[in-house]
Amino acid sequence: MPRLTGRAGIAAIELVYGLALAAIVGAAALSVLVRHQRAAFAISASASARSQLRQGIAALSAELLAAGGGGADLLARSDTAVELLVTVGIALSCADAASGTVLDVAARARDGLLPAATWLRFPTPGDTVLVLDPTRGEWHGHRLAASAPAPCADSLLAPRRSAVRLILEPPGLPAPLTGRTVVRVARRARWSVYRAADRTWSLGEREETVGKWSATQPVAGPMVGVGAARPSPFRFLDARGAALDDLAPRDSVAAIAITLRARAAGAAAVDSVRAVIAIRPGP
Amino acid sequence: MVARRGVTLLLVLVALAVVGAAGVALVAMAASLDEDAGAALADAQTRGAADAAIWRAWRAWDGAARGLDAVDRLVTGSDTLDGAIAVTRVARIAPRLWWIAATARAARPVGTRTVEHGGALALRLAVDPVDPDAAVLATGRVTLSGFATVSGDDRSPDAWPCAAAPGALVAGIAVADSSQVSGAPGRVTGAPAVEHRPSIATDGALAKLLRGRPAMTALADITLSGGMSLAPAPDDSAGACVPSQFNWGDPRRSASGGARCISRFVVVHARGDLRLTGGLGQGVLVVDGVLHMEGGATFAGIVIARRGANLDAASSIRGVLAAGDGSTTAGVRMGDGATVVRSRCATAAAITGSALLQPVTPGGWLSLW
Repeated sequence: MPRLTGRAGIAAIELVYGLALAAIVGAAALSVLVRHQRAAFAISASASARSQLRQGIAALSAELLAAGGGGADLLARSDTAVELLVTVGIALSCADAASGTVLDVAARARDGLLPAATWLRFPTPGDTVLVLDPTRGEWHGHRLAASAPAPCADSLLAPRRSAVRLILEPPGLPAPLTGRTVVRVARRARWSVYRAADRTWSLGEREETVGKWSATQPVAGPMVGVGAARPSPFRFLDARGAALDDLAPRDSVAAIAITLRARAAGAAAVDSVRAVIAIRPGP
Repeated sequence: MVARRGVTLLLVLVALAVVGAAGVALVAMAASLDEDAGAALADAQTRGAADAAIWRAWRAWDGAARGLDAVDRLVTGSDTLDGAIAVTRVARIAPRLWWIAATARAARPVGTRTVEHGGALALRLAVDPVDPDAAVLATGRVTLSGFATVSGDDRSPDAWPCAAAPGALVAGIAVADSSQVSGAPGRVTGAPAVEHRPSIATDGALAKLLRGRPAMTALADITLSGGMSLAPAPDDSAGACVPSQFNWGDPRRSASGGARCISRFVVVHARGDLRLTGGLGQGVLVVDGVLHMEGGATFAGIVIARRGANLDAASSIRGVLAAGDGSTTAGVRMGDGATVVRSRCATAAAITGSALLQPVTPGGWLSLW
């Protein structure tokens, strides 16, 4: 009969060692996994926060880039809000397609041989239609009554014959336009830092349509300020990059520095995105 | 023994797999962030490239090449900029408006997406284009001595890149009263050589020039006090055209000595009399007093002398000379060897190449998409 006692004891010790080693390796692996999960979550949250900030900067940058030169469209400003005449669209009028209250303009940028239109929003009744008088160099303002698709027989702008017909409120254009000109449709808008229902700060935008201000639409957020202060993202700079105070004339604004800060969920650190948007040069 | 070693190895493999999976997840996140950053960079680069292409086209603007553009004429060019390829289109969309549009595309797609942006710049002439209907337009007496020459034939200055064909022959001299033209009639060419135009101050090219005079003086980039004497000369000593009140561009289009100033067209406003003792220039010259040109002074473009002009030997004007301001009569005296030759190209270049063509504001610069 073979003896079994000694070999069975060694096996039990080895099993305990094995289990302990497995527990150590498992704990280490779990720890690494948890740390990596936390890191991945933090990276994801940070990326999400930055994405929010970038989105806000990009949206406001587009508005400022499309705005008129020399700060002319900058209607009011503070460190927490900017009110400006935002562009609904800019387009060239179709040749000889304007008289009275009817004005046909290019509908799409890439329709013709010459890119000649940009529409950032749908034109809405109440919008301001600015028509350049090529002779005097002045913009004549009109109120938009309605808009509709229309044909445009202009080989340079719209060979596919697509145009937007802008119907102006009376009395309309002072004289028939002969030849093309530049038409700009604009709307008053306000970008500001506001407190949302959940008590967090966000960047939002609201527009004036048909004589009334719309509700503020969130663009980016939640944001944080420096310390516990309300976020104050706007700084206005002159041509040399020096900060301007609120009383400086608007035509002295050469650039707007926008700094948006956000804290990623569960993180202590604050991420920020800063952009300096140059205002198009004036006359 | 083999089975027991296998358990430990298995545990290590599981741990490695867990760590590896976490690493892969991190790499994927980093790649996503990298793609975001790449897209943002390509976006900024193409937007900047479109703006830069427009700016380059505007900076390189040559009134001599663009001045006689027909409405609807489209000129296309391309430009390679940092990280993007830009196509620029320039068209005269109306008699007083030009449109520069640029489309920039990122040299490499971001993922499967092609990044492209477009922008445009509207330019407007502050004055009506002028087609001179005579070489010399005067409300007063015109006196020619010796071999003074006036030609109503349309001739572009040598080596100027004027695209349009020469215009029809017009009058050499147009005056309110043809009896006030004296001397050397054989040196005046035109159809007719001398034209009698009683309403010259209110009708035709002179009237149009006078209507544009306030805009010209308001936009003048060189303003001189009355009684000055000077001999303007192109200056590209710093490796680029150096703007100054003595640099009025280079109408010779020479290969050396001021060649970088060929697209510099000035608008000069002299608040009184002006004496050019030689030199050369191009653009628009408005003199509130009497203009004296001597010493072979050469000017290409538009000359408006409100109180009259005296051109001495070898002085020359290529474009148009207008004397008078509608309320006063002003004469022209041309000495032996002085020359005035009509040029539609030089006249158009003077206004389309100078500060009289400006971006529309506000709203002249725009991002299309």
